[in-house]
Amino acid sequence: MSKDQHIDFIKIQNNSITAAEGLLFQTEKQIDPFKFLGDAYKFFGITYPKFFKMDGLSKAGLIAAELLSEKVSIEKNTGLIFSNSSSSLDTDLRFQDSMKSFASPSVFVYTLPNIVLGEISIRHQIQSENAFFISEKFDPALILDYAEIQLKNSACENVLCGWLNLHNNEYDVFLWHVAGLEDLQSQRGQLLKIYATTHE
Amino acid sequence: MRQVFLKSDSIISPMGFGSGTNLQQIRLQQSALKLQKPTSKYPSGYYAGILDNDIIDHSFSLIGNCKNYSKLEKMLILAINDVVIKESIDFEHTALVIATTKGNIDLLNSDAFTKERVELWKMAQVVADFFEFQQKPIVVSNACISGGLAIKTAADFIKYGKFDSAIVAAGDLVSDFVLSGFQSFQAMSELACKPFDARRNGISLGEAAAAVYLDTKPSEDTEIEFIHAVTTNDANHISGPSRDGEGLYQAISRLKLFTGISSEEIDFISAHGTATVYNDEMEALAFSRSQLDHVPLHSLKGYLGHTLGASALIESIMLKHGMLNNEMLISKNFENLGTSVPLNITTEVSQKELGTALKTASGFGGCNIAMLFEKTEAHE
Repeated sequence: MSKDQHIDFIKIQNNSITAAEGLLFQTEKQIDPFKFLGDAYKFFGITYPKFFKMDGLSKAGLIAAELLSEKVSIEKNTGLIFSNSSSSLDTDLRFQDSMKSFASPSVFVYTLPNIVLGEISIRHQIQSENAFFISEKFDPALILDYAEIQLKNSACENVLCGWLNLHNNEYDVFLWHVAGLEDLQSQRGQLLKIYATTHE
Repeated sequence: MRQVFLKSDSIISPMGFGSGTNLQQIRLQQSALKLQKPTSKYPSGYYAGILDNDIIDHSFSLIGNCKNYSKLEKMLILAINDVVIKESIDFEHTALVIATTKGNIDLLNSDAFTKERVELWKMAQVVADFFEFQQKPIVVSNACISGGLAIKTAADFIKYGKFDSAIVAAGDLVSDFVLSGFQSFQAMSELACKPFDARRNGISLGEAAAAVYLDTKPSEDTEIEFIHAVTTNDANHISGPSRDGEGLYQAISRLKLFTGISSEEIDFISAHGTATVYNDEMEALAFSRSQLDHVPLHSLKGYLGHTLGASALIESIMLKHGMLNNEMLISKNFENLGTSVPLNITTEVSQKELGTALKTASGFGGCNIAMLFEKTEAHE
């Protein structure tokens, strides 16, 4: 796996957070995934009071971006190109539930998948390209192809890419950084393998 | 670099089926927005543009089995079908890019279809399968810039050769879900929305679907070319626009930088203009900072309401027709300027050579898009 080491990524699956160098944080599988994210937030010493107001997708995205930002440059001209399968369905169901009594505006605002791009942009003061795609399964070619064009167009200088899904109380998060065009080409063909590798 | 042209298009809305019908209704100053029944938050009722199921089924029954498709799927299929019958589409290679914010959200907790149907990728696949598109559809869901971002996505991919042509479609519904949400924000207008007006007081929701065919082959006629688009994030607030219009200003500035176009060369602006107090003020500041305050501008929200993920596609299609006809459509429900800086809002039908035009949109999550379209004169 040494060939894969140069891809900076953060993966959140099965109540564990892993990076290229290995396991970063883990709790028992039985722990509620939302509590797991809260525990991770505390464990990594992240201080961002707004965290607790966010929905699940934004919390997971924020933690993953935070951990990546310690290793790579995430700045004003970092493009954010994300994708998932279930859009904001988890929060949609919560909002639908709240409609029975008091429809909550603070829940409603999270019923869009791209809100996490806004949260990450606020946290890291990014003002660059945003795109959120929905595909049945993780499709790195779609994300990389779009990222490649944005880099070639000088629309952004580097890209934070992500697969960020929350469905049936299960997180499937894979964020990675593309430093530039050369980096991007070297990642082709590797991402699915890294995404599928479990660190147990 | 390959050129990308906006070919045949269609709009399926409460004002009618087809771009021509919608354009005609706009010229006649008609509106899809009708007074709806009162709710606890809106005791005097509110305005929305809602498409009657029977009208959809009347048209859809000619091409498919109404029972097998959701309301939004039928609207999208009707829009795409309208394009397909005017173009010779190669379904093996042509891409389908679909924009939506909430898709089949009306099916949440419904037993009418399988649970999977509420997933946006599934809805897109159902629509793609109707026409037997061989490529997996690409779904863009990026709040209220989705329809514009879908054009950008398709055009970017065409320019760089991922595919040669695409149908871009977009649609969203006025669902109880979305109504409750905007009501909870108290973001809805009791009157039909009044973009950029001094008495504007919120949005009116509308439902619609639209489609446009993009390809690289210039025709012999005058046509509209997609030049470039830029997105930015405000990095300011997830549910409110930046107070100084910085994100949209950045999008417009970068678009000008990348295309080499100057503010003086922009003949017309199709704005987002949702008619919330803050959005329209934010846009006005961004246009003013971009030295575009003199450029004729409209918002079409007074006709169709805010059609969410479909709006930027519908407005781009209308912009295309406006450019081809050198016609500046009236910004409906505008009376007195209600922004802190001047804007040149179209209040009467007027003709002007429209060679270059800007389309902008902004949405929740702090996203903005600025798109540039140019007229390519007829070849000899």
